[in-house]
Amino acid sequence: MLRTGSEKAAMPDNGPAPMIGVEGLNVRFGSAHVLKDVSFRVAAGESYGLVGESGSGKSTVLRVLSGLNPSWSGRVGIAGAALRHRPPKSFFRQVQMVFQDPFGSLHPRMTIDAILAEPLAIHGIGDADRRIERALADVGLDGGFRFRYPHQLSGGQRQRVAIARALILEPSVLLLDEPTSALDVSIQAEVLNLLQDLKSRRDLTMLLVSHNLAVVGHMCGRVGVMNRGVIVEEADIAELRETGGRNPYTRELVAASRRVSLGAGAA
Amino acid sequence: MTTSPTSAPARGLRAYLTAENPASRRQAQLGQFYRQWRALRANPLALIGLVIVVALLAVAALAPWIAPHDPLAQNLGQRLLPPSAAHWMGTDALGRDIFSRILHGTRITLAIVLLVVISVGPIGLLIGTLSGYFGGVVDTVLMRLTDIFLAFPRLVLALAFVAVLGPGIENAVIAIACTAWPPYARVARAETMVIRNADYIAAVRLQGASHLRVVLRHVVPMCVPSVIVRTTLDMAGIILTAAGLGFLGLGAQPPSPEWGAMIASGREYIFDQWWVATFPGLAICLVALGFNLLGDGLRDVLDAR
Repeated sequence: MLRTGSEKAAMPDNGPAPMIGVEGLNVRFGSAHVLKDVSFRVAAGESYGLVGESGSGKSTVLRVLSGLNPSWSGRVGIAGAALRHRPPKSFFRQVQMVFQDPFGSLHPRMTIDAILAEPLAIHGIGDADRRIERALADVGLDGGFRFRYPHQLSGGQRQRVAIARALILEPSVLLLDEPTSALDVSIQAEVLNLLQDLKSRRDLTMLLVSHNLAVVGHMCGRVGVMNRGVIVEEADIAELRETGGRNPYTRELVAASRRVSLGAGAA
Repeated sequence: MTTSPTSAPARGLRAYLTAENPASRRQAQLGQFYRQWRALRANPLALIGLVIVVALLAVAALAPWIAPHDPLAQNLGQRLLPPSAAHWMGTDALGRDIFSRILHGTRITLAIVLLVVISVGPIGLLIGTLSGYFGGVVDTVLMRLTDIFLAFPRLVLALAFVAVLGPGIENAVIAIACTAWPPYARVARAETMVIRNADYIAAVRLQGASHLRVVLRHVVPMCVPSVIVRTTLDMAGIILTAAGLGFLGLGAQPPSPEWGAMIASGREYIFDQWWVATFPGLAICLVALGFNLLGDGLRDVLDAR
């Protein structure tokens, strides 16, 4: 008795309810079927990675989970509640997201201070001054950055601000959409280490989307490999490293990333 | 982080404004203004525009003290005198000093321009951003309304309004405002449609912000610069429309020294007493030019990020 068909998303065989549980998620944009029956689960405190080339639908998964994309069907549970198509305000205190492009995700006419104060004001959280200072300190920026405008910051610094903004509401789930792909290689590791560090300190559940297997390998224990809107394989990172994956697409992806890292090593 | 207290006051102020790490919200804002001011200062044409506009403001404020004659005092013994030391720009058909009338006319021009801008900017901005942000039915309804107003030639619609409301400056302002907002809505809508897909808007939505908050606090500030630029470039048009209404006798009423009305009254003498119509015309030209140059400069300054 592996599957009892009508059994709901309780899934007793996996122990406690997952922090993120996605089952049969489908998304269509007009005639394009972007996500086809996507299912995966992420336990509390786990880091899960979604890899795949651009257009594979991995970012769409993230947009659905964050509540930005209201047209989807399937069963999605996140942070202990079923995801609604138009999530209530309280949802956003639980689930936050860091965007790919730090040059586009910070309002160009607001100081860092104003950007960080906004989520606090929206949720009526007091003590903004102290919280903003602490949020900046947590991502390794000193108070001198507080009243600067985004255009006075470097890419890495901006991404730190974006992370601070996501974490200032103290969410339990952090969604990361290619958080380092717009950054210099030297800065990438810095930001990834910061995220690792924050995760271990705060007991965050992270869902990381990337086309870069190395980034996912650095951050996550488990990955789902996506291709054309389908998760073709789920595996532990260690297992993937060893075997190179079972699915032909996965093998191709792993081989490609090995070639790239070899090339980078030779250079 | 704080400016060094030992530096001299002038240097201290500059250091305060250009500090890498401002220590307060106000300092960050003033620093931003200072950077924009320096960018404006580097553009000579914009500076000329600024000087003209500031001069206009100064003249309007000081008109009663710097005008050599009473703008309304008639003296039929001195009608249609050419420019001279006593009357720098000559006198009109009723013997009034044209120079004094032009100086006093700045007040009327400025009042019309300011009233129009105050009413048009916010209306256009609000309709444009709402239309662009929500799209769909809201967009269709608001934009068709805008199209209706856009379809009329400005002066003709203003004429119709004045004909209904009766002549006078207040009604001229209302008429101009009613015809001037659609381009602002268009500009704001076009910008909003780009902005609404930006990541920083998605980010605020993800923080749980309501639509109203997103529009008012995050979209509108992005549209304001282009609306300001559009306004300064439009000032010339507004002044001309006001003058046009005055010229047709539907704006400011006779004794008041409105520039358009002054040109109209000089029309009959334009070949023999050229100065009656020429000087108010030059004044309109100069002020329109000033606003245009300033607007051009502001566009460069406010767009640079």
